[in-house]
Amino acid sequence: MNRILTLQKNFFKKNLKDIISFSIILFISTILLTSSLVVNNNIDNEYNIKHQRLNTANSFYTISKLQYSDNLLENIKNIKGVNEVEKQEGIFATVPIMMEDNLQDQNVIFYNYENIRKINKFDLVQENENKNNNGIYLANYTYIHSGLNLDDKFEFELNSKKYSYNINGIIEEMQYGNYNSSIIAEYLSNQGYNELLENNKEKEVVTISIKSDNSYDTYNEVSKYLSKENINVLNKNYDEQSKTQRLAIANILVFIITAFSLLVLTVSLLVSKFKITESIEEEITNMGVLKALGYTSNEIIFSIIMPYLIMGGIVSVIGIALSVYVTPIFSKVIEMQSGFIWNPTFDLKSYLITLLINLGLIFIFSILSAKKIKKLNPINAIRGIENNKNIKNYFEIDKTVGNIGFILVLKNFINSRKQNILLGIVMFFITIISSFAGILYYNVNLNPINFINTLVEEHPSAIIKQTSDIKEEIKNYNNVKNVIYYDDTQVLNYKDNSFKTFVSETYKNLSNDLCYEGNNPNGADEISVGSRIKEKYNLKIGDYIDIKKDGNTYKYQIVGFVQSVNYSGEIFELTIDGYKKIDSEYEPKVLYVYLENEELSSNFLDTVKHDFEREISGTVDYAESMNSASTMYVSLVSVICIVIIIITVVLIYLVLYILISSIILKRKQELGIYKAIGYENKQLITQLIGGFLPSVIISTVLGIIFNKIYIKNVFNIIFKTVGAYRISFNYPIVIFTFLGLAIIISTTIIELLLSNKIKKISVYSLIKD
Amino acid sequence: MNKIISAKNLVKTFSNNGITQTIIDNLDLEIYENDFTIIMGSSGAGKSTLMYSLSGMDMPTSGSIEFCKEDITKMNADKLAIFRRKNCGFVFQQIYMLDKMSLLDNTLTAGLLVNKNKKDVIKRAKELFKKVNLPETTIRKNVNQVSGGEAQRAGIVRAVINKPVCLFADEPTGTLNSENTKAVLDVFTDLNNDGQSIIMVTHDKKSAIRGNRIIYLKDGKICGELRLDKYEKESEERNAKLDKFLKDMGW
Repeated sequence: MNRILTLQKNFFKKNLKDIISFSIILFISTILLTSSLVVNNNIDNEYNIKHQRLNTANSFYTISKLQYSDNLLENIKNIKGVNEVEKQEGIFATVPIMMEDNLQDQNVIFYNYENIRKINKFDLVQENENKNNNGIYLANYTYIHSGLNLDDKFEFELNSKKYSYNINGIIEEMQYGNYNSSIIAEYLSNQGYNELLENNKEKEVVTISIKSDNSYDTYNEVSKYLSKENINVLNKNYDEQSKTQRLAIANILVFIITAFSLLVLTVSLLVSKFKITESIEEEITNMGVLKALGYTSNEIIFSIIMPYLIMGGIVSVIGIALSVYVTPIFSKVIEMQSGFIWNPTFDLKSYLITLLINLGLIFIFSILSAKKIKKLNPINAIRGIENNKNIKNYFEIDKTVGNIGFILVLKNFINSRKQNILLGIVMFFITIISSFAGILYYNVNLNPINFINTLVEEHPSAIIKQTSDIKEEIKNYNNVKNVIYYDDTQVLNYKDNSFKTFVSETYKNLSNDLCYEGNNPNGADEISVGSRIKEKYNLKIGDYIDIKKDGNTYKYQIVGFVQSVNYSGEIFELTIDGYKKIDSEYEPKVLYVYLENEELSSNFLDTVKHDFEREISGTVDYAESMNSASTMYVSLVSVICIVIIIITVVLIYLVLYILISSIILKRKQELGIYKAIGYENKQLITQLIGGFLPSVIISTVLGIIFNKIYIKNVFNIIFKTVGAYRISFNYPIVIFTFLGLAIIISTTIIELLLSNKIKKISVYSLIKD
Repeated sequence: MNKIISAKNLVKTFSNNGITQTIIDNLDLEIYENDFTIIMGSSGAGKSTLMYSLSGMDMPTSGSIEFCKEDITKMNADKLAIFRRKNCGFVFQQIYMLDKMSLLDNTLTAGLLVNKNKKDVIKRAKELFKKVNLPETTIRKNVNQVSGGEAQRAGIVRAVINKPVCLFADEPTGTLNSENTKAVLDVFTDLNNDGQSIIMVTHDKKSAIRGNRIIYLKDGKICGELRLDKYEKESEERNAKLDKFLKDMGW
């Protein structure tokens, strides 16, 4: 056993630097994997716990105060499945709020902070010591993105009147949470609330919050009831949908990190497999001696794989321990996007899973790599026959076309097959990861419109709510590209459920085509159906569906399916003529305006408001809002891309370090011979780099081809998880090519730096050693 | 006689655990064209160190070495590599062939470094292989597929492919049996007779007898030198001269 220990020690010492490199790669993957598992395992649970603790409604409806009656509340109480009901009065308005340094029109419900509430309670996250009666308690999400401090004033303008509030504190609630649910709630002190209400009586609303056992069924039942009562629901939602909306980006983030960590883990396993195989070849004589002395194959295998298992175990434990400091970074990023405050806690399950995955896979890979020892013939090993039996002289110099440098590169390439295979696999993965990050960066940071088109619905430059028709006049304004009647406030009743319905005069010139299968409606009898409705009722293109209104039934033929992330695929699309079948009196009141230069949207709206003071009931600077929204995603994606790029470069460096060190060590004598016969360092370095170049180029090109064909599907899978079926991303080949070239160049530079070790090989040591 | 190498005040020391050991001690030596110079001496006398210093394979601690009128002690590693490829050929005891290549490729790898004309180099290599009695089938084999003698003869071919000014051989027959030793030594003799200058380190009398100049080293200094005629065949007189010289040197 002493000899085994000595072998183990020698093996460890000799391969220390490589084992450290392997450990660093494993360390990175452990931290990422543990963090993503902790987030993945707990976010849902933590969300549900907080949802329950704050007694958040399972479903809720916001309606105009004018349509509310106590009788209505009583009737809802009696609907099957409803356990508890509470009403809260509020003020519903679209107000421009400073978000990410831009004024962003947001749908806000202002509630009275001092009202007693049993349902939809909130946590006071921070409280200002200098609070006053004219104060506001901001939603955490608004606070994060507004850039305000507790000492600042929260200001907005509504109906030409400026409002300014002292920030009394920051709250977190689970009903709205962030902007993904299209509405955000802010809480005013009693005085502030009453003053705002005084000036905006027509905006007073009532939110009916419901606790139930089965939220979706009850949500549908109440929706049916309100639809039957002709109540115009301004906003409604149920808990599962709200959660999906809030955590959409967080889920994408977790998906990316998990996939990335598994990829890094794969690289570390490939590296360990390679090193173990290499080490066996280097130590083959010793192993032959051990076998000849009577040690069993298992004892020898054990001595080889132990350093990797021990280091794997140590690194996993350290990585898991340090992930405690990394996971909060992820939760902070998630908080920024979702507004959901969550402090990751000790999660034994995630830690054990990571440890089990790491050790289990290292063990399996090590055993597979070390199985050669079982077949080892001790005498052949001692004589050195085992390693030399299959050496073939590839690319005979006198028969191969090209100069000696080129032929030696070819020989090097073929003689470093194992290294090249490992490098090829790693480079292939790295090309895929980099392209993924590149495409994400391109579509979110450089062309945010693609990302917005994927996640939101129609987005004009500006929205004008008209009281009398001014479409033709607006069309004649400078900078106006197009004006379309587009209405997103209508609701259709299908199968006793009411669904948000977009009504547009045309779907041809819109900024965002939501249709992912078939077509948008064109004629009065055509309808397009949201993805969720399609799945729920198993609908097909060509089917006819019955829409009910006031006891009448109207038939439409399905011509296509459309996506909607914000409404979870529960939408319909109709033309104006199509809607007029239901309501012949219908006249569109909303104009979607598309400008040549969206940066001038604010000026444009000021002019319109000035010119048509009486004909306009409201405007929305949509371009500005989209600009702010995309800024949030830009910073998030930038962080992801930077992390991916840094880890990718570290990975390339470590893998190349292991490969090049292993080659230089293995070929030390050979390099000494080359030097003895007159080869210069630069020639040997060129040979070494040249030997790797084909596999780097081939695998990068294969990675580019793979990306060109499949990366679309990867994004489809990711975005489908949040309900986006039609990804508006572009996948320009130039991005793949640019990244491919960057990878090849950076790999070559790293190879060049690492190959400098060749210079240290002294010719004389060849003889002396 | 033309001088090809001239070493002056050559010193080579090694430090190990703070203890400095002088291997070559203020040595002066000149090597002449067309000579078959043998360096002999007891173990640790500095034979190999001297030879590798003269060839630019190792750097002396101090002193100068003029090789083909160039001071090689002032050259950097890459300049030395270029110098070596043109002017030096090496034959090692352990043969040191590139093991993933055939004997022919080993030779061409060295030859094509100097002469870019592939046809010429292949032609010369094949002539040399013929000269050392290695047939086409053997030269296409890898080093692990041939005998030690065959490998060493191929090593000599590789060493002389670029027509070096001087061929350096470090105990080239040290690992060979008597039959292979004779074959290898015959190749050296033939090369020398064709005008190739050779420096050979050996402690084998059978090898030493092939030289026409025998230098004996002791404690890093030349303590004796024997001049003989060019080797044609073994003779008792030649053997006796060498025996006496070695006896005088305390061998």
